[in-house]
Amino acid sequence: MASVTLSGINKWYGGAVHAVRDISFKIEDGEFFGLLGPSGSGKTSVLRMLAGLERPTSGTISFDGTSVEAKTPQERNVAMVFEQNALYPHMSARQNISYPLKIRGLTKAEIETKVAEVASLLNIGHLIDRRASQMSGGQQQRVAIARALVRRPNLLCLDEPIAHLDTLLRARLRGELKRLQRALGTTSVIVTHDPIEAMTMTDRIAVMRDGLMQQIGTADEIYMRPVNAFVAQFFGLHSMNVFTVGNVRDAPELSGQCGAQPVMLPDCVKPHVGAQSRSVLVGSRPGGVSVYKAGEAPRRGAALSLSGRVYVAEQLGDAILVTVQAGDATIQAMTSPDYRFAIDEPVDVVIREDALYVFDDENQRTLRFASGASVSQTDRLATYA
Amino acid sequence: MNTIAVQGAALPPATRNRDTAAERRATLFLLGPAMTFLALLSIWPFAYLIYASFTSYQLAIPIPIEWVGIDNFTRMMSNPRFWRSLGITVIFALVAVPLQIVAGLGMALLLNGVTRGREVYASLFLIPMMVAPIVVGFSWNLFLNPIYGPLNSFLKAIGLNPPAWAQSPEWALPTLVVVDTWQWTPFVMIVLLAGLNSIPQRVYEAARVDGSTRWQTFVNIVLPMLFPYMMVAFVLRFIDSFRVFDIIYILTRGGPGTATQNLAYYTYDMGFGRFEFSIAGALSIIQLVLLTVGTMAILGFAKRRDKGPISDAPLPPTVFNAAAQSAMGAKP
Repeated sequence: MASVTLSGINKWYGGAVHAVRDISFKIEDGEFFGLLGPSGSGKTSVLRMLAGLERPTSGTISFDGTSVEAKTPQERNVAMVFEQNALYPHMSARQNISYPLKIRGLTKAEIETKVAEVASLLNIGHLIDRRASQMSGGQQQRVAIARALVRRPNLLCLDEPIAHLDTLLRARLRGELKRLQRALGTTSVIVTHDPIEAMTMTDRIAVMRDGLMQQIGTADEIYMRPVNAFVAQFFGLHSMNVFTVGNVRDAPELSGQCGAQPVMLPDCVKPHVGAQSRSVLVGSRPGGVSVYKAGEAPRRGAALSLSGRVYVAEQLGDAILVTVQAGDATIQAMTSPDYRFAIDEPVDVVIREDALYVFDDENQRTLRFASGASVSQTDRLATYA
Repeated sequence: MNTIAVQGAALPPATRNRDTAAERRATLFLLGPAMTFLALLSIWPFAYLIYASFTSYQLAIPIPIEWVGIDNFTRMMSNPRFWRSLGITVIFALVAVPLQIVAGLGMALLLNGVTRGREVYASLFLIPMMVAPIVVGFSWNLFLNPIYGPLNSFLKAIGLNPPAWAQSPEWALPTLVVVDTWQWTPFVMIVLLAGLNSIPQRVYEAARVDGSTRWQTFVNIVLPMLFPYMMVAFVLRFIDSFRVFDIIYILTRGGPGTATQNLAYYTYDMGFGRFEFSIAGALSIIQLVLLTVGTMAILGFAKRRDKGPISDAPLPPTVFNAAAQSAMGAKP
């Protein structure tokens, strides 16, 4: 087990692709760390550099304060679980798990004990003599995890280990992986493009985009206080609604336009309206948006309100996700399942001031956060889905 | 979905029968010509071959053809020339084929490490395989000519006293092995290259992370994963090596003496040299049986190796497609 420090890491591929740009962060000993980002964000490159499969173009990586850039994966004592199909197909599960021990020259008895131990830990005792082709995807990944854990690595690297499994199995393995990591205390890094995986399993998450680090923090921090519009939209079960209100005027009331649609704005937005552009970038989680039948919205001051039409309403069981087309903006709202909305039905959309985020019109940085309590619990609880 | 299923079931039986009958006619019409040719050119001659091998059919002597039972076979079994040519055939196969597998594996590994222009190199390496064997024979004949061939001129120039390769009793068979290997190693290479391409990059990376050295990865992971491909190459080359004829005909004519007379050449000599058609027929059938048994033994070995609590991995079905693709420049 080890703490891992990356500082000033850059990775170029062939002089043309700058995949990782000046990344620095520290993973604490025993921590479960998530690298989250869309494809092409450089998260896998970071993991591969941690594992020793690739060398950084510049920057340093150290395990417990010792620099490891020049060391092989074996010298670092890292283990890795790949996306899929990385078992040795001609070997049984037992042979797969034993392989790292065998090439390290352990005796038969030692290997047997360790394999039995890790097999019972992962509940794969009954599969131990099967080959990869005779196991389901979930079973194969379990064997791959066993192979990684059997030699008690300093660092466990997980490259989208459950991304290719079906939904139910993924949900189960999320829990299993988290419990396993807690029980063993192995410092672990998981790469994923799925915010739910990152949120549910890890202690801290680093969000990446285009090779750049966006934000590092706990799931709650990133969810509640995203540093910019990208993180706000990427992180969470449902994307945050982010849209531009232009042509902002102060009189008679603070208002603007979203496309051709007039928008009423709360006063808190005022200091953030661009001096030149007269526009403002606002956002809200679907849980902070209320939808009313046209004309039924209560007249309340401190809220953003606009009119639109229902694009689609999706039944989620304990809630309905309503998508409203209002001017140029597409706004999603999480509403109570009691309401029924028809497609193209005219509606009013209201975002209360305390659920409103404001972003910088130019660099997309967050200028104003919603105050915690106002963000509806529905959206956050709905992350189990 | 349901509607479609119901409609299908509701078709009147008569319609379906008529369809099937029409289909059957179409099948016959389309397959008929090919089947006729097959019957005339393959099945009938084969049946006749079996019949002839049990008779006293000699083309050169106009005696009535008589049924002689297994006489031809027993005569062959007690003929030292038969045993000698069988020995030569087996030695040829057991030396040439492993040589081709090893050399082909080496070439495939080298080529697999090439990132740029792999397809070009692969195509270039395939040239010997695409040349007609008879042309290969003539080319090597010139190359190896003891008097004016370039090889011996060179060897003499550097002060050696080279043998007359194809005409030398000791060197004739090794020479044929070399020629066959030269021509067919590329085939093994392309099969094994397809095998190498089938190993996902992740497996190599998993091995690296597991602490496996390059050599350990090669021995413990790459070779076993290539095994089915090696078996395919081995079986095909093994069968082919039994019927080597062209290069023997051109380079040695089975000689000197009978030093390079394999079963195929011996059969030819019996049939078209002495017109002993029934004997040649018996020889052909013996070869067929030997090859069938041999191939089954090899495949059985390949299967048993994979047995145990672990079920057998099927031979890769697309090995030739893959081989063709990587040969013809499709990116793996």
